[in-house]
Amino acid sequence: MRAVWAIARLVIKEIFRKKDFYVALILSMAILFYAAQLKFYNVGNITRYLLEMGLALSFILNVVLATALSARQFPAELQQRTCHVILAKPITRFQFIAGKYLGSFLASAACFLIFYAGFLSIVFFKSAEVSPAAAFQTGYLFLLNLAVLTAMASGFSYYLTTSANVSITLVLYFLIGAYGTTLKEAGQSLFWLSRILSEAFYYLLPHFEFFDIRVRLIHGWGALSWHLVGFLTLYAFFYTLLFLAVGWLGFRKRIL
Amino acid sequence: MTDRFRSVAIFFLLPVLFYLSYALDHDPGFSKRRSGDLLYQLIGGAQEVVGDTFFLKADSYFHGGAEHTFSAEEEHFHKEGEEDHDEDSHQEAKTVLASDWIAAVNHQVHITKHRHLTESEIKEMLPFLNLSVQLDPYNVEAILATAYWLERHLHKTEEALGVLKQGLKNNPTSWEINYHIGSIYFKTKGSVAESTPYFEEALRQIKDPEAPEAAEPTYFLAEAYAAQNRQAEALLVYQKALTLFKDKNSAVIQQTIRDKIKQISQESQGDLASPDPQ
Repeated sequence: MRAVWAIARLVIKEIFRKKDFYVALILSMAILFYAAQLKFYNVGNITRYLLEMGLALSFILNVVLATALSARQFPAELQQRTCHVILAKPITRFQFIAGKYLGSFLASAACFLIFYAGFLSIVFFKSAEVSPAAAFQTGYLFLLNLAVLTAMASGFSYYLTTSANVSITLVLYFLIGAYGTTLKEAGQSLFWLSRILSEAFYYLLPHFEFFDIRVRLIHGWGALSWHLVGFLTLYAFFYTLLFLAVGWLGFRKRIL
Repeated sequence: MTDRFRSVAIFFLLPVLFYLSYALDHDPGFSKRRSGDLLYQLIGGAQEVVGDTFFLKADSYFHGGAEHTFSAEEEHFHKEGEEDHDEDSHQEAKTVLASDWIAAVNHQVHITKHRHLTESEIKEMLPFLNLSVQLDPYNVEAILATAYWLERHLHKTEEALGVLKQGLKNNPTSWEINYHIGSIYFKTKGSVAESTPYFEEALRQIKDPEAPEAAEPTYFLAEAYAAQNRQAEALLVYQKALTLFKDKNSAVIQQTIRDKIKQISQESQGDLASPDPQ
C-alpha cells in the first residue's frame, strides 16, 4: 500500500504544480462573478441560471482536467523512460496501475472539491434555495463519476497514446452522458449493424448520466433515495475495477 | 486522386463557390438578416440556433427542468404548481420501467414528471429568454413570450414594451408584435391614442383580412376608436369584427359587439335628432 500511495502522491503533486488547474479555476470564477452581476429586465434575485452555470463549469472543466491527467500518466512515464526506474524498485505492475489510478482520482477529486466549494459559496452569497441533501448527493455522485472516468482514461492509457485516449474517452463520456437514456431506443430504427452497436454501447459502457443530478438540485426536486445512492456507488465501483482490470491486462506482460 | 484531376476539380469548384458567395451576399432576405451584426458575421446562422436552444431552455425551466416539447397551448401558460401525470404518461412510465434496468435507474435518477413555475419563480426564466431574444432577434415567438412573462406575471410593463419595440425594429412586418404593443398601451397603460396606430398597423400586416387572427386586433381597434369618440370609425370596425368572430365559442363576444354597435347607432341617431345648436 505504501508503494501505491508513493506513486499516487506524485500524481497529486503534478496537478497542483501545473497551470491547467489554476487557469480553469480562475476562468470559471471570473465567468461566475461576471454572471452574478448581470441584471435581466431590472428583476433582482435570479439564481437558477447561476447555479446551472456554476455546476456546468465545474463539471465540464473537471471532466477535461481528470481525463487529461489520467490519460497522460503512463505514456509520459514511458516517453521519459521514468517507468523503468519506478518498476526497477520493488513495485509490481499492479501497484503501478493502482498508484497511477489512485493519484489521478484523488487529484481530480481535490480539484473538483475546490470548484464545488467555490460554487457553494456563490450559492450561499446569492441566498439561492438548495436542498443540503441534494447538494451533498450532487457532489458525491460527481465524485463517483470522476472515479469511473479516471479509471476509464487510466485503463485506456496502457493501449493508446495520450491524444487518442483523451479524444476517445471524452467522446464516449459525452456521448453516453447525453444520449445514454435514448441510445437503445434510437438504435431500433437503424441498420442492423448500427442497432447491434448501439445496444452494445448501451449495455457495456458505464452510464455516466446516472451520476448527474444537477436538474434535481437546481430546480428543487429534492434528493435521491439513499438506497439508490448506495446502488450507484456499487455501480461506479464495478466499472472502476473493470477499467483497471482492462488496463492491467494490457500492461502486465507488456515489454517496456 | 491524381494531381491533374485535383487541379481540374479546383478549377471548376472555385467559380461555383465564388458564384454562391456572390448570390448569397446579394440575396435580400439573407443580407437583411445579417444587418451588420458582428456576432452574426462571426458565427452566422449558428447564433439563431443557439438562440432557439435558449428559448427551449426557458421552456424547460418553466416545466421545472424537465425536457418538454414546446406547446403553445394557452393552458400551459396559466397553470401553476405541481401537475399530475395524465394516464398516457403513467402508461409510458410503466413501459420504461419494464423495458430494462438501465431505463429503470434513469427513471429514478432523472426528472420524469414536470411542474410549472410558481409566480415567485417565474423570474428564473428571464436570463434564457433574454439570451434567446438577443441571439435570435427574428424569433417572434421568443419576443412575444418574453414580453408576456414580463408584463403579465412580473408587472414590468416598460421592460415588456422595450422588448416588443426592439422586436418590431427587427421584424417590422410582424402583426403579432404590433398587436401586443397596442394591447399593452390599451389594456395596461390605458393610453388609447398610443395603442391605435399599432392596432391599425397589425391589421395592415395581416395578409388575409378575413383570417381568424384578425378578429382580436379588429375588436380592439374598434374599442380604441370608441374610447376616442371616433364613433363612425368604431361602428365600421365593430361591424367588421362581428364578421370575424364566427365560431360557436364566440357567442359572448358576438353579443358584446352587437350591443356596442346598437349603442353607437342609438347615440348617433340621438345626435342627429338633437343637432348641436352651434
